[in-house]
Amino acid sequence: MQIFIDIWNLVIIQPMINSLVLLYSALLLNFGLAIIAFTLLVRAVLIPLTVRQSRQMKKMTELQPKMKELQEKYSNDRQRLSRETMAIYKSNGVNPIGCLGPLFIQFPIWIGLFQAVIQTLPSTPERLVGLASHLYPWMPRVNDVIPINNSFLWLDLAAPDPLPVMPILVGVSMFLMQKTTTMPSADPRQEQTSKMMLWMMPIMFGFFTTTFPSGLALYWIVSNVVGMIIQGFVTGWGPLIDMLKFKRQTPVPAVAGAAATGAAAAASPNEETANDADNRDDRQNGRRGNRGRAKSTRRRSRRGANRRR
Amino acid sequence: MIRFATGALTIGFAGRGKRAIMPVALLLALLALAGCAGRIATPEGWSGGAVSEDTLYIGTREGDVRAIDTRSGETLRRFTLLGEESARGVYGTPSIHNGTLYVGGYDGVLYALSTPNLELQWQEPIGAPIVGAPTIAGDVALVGADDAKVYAYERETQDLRWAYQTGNKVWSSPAAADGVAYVTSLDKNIYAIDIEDGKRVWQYATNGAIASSPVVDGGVVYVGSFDGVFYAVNAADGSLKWTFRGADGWYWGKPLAHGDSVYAPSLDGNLYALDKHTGDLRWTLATGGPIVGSPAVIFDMIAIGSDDGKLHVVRISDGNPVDECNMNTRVRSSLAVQDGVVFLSADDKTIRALRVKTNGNPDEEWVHKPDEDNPVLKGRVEDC
Repeated sequence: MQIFIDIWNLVIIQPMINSLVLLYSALLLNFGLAIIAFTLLVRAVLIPLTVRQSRQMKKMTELQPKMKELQEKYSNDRQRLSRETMAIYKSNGVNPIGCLGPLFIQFPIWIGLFQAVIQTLPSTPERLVGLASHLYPWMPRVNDVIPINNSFLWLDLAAPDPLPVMPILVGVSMFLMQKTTTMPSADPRQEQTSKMMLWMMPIMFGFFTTTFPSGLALYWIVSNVVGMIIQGFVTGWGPLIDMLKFKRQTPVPAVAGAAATGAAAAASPNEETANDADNRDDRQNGRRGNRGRAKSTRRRSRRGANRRR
Repeated sequence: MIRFATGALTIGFAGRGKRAIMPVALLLALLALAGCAGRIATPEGWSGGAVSEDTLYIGTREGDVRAIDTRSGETLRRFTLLGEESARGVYGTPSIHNGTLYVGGYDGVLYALSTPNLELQWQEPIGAPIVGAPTIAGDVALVGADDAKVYAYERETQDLRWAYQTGNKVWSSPAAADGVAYVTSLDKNIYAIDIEDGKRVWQYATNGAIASSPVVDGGVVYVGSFDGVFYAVNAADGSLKWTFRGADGWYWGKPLAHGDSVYAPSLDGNLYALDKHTGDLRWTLATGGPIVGSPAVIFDMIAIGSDDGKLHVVRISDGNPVDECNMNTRVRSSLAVQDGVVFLSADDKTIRALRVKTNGNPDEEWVHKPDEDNPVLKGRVEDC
């Protein structure tokens, strides 16, 4: 076990800590700016992965109507459903596992960042002694700038925000990012889970922020905002724009007979894409959807068409 | 089917149960990892011990100060720090003066306890964590705190005589000589402060933060800095006498001045023996981990604990290792010595007594485990 910890420290933690300290010394000895700059740098490095991930998600979203059809068609034959699903994925160039790769690459980086921020802001003598073992002795100015100045705006970055500001910002930014990134699902159970997560995660992280150092909260906020922007450029700003317009979410069944599932189908560009695809499917199959859905689809199709022009 | 969202990390696989399990499992994993990584550290302390009349007074990781029988290892008395439970740590070595034990708590309180009963005589809530040990200088108790101040309290009346503001946390223990207090700060400076009125006599700037407590000996202040340099500064005027630049890491532990040498422990894992007058390196003891505590003289040897889990014993004359005791737990406390026995607190929460024979061979006399019902293991506990 120790060897894994050593490797983790050597490969992830130490480079991150030293980078943070270096940025701190370069950015006016302001650790808040160092955290922001470091988060931007890491996010920039991960952009190819993030974009690839977002595109995979988008493709999968576009396939949701077909998936729904398959689910209904083969509701009593799980094996066939699985085969057909995989066939559709294959024919559309979607690797259902592929989108997990970027996640698992980013995951240790996120955790490493958490640890690096915490360890670079030592609040106790134990932590400061621990920091000494992580610093590269050959790096210039590293020892000169220790201890890091924890102050940033009204915050002590090594301590929780005494005001509820950072917890609220973390919760709100996480909610907005999820709103941008969450893709609609044809499966009502998944849609329900998704809705639950959309609220639960921001609330939980907001709650944890009340006990975590605000330096970590700053990282979360910047990371969420950057993630939201990247996602917005890749898959569109629809969900955010709709939310800002306080658009009422109308239940939209994904396909005829699936009225219950439509409740979660919010008006988002991803959903538009899904519905567009669905609509195309309907036309190709020479079938007509129910009226309510057709109305909704027409409106969105026009908007999609305008955007394409 | 797989569904994925970066924000919520929701993943669902085809199959009824898994749909619900996967997002929940991932959420829990994320929170667990974040929780492991993100918790604010709670202070644990690495108190050294003070010995008086067969009683060891030492802070434990249970958040209390104990009076322990040096022969049996049994607890005689205990005093639980009064601050918040999460802040009850003692880092410095308690000071004994005229039957009173002075303890600085990470809970931000300076305690004066009677000995040997450990009854509270008075307390002074400073409000900022205290890491360094209190120093008694005549009729005042000097203590540094996390709020960057050094306080001087009248021992009899507990009145604040003065408070001197430095530029950063004061995690060290002041040294006092000839009416002057010598204080180091994480603001990189060594300060000489008149104990009478709290006015600065001189100030010497290093290039790194200073967590190490200074030592004054023969009119010279000795202290190491985070810049990896060990300084000898004339106590009279703050002029530099010499420096030693051979270390590859920060200095943390309080140096020891003994004979013609000064012994400087470093977080690079080495104990440097330097000529007190010139700063020339006499010998180096390399341990396997950072050295946080202060060494102690025992017979004609030097003993020092290290993060490598060992107590090292070396000959003063040439620095040759004589023997060692592997306790398999980090030793960060300063060492206390009485009648050939070394007392220390270790990272596993234990307090240990090791008898060092005249040939340098250390054997554990007893191990005190503060958090257990049957706390003392006696006899030759571990074959070092």
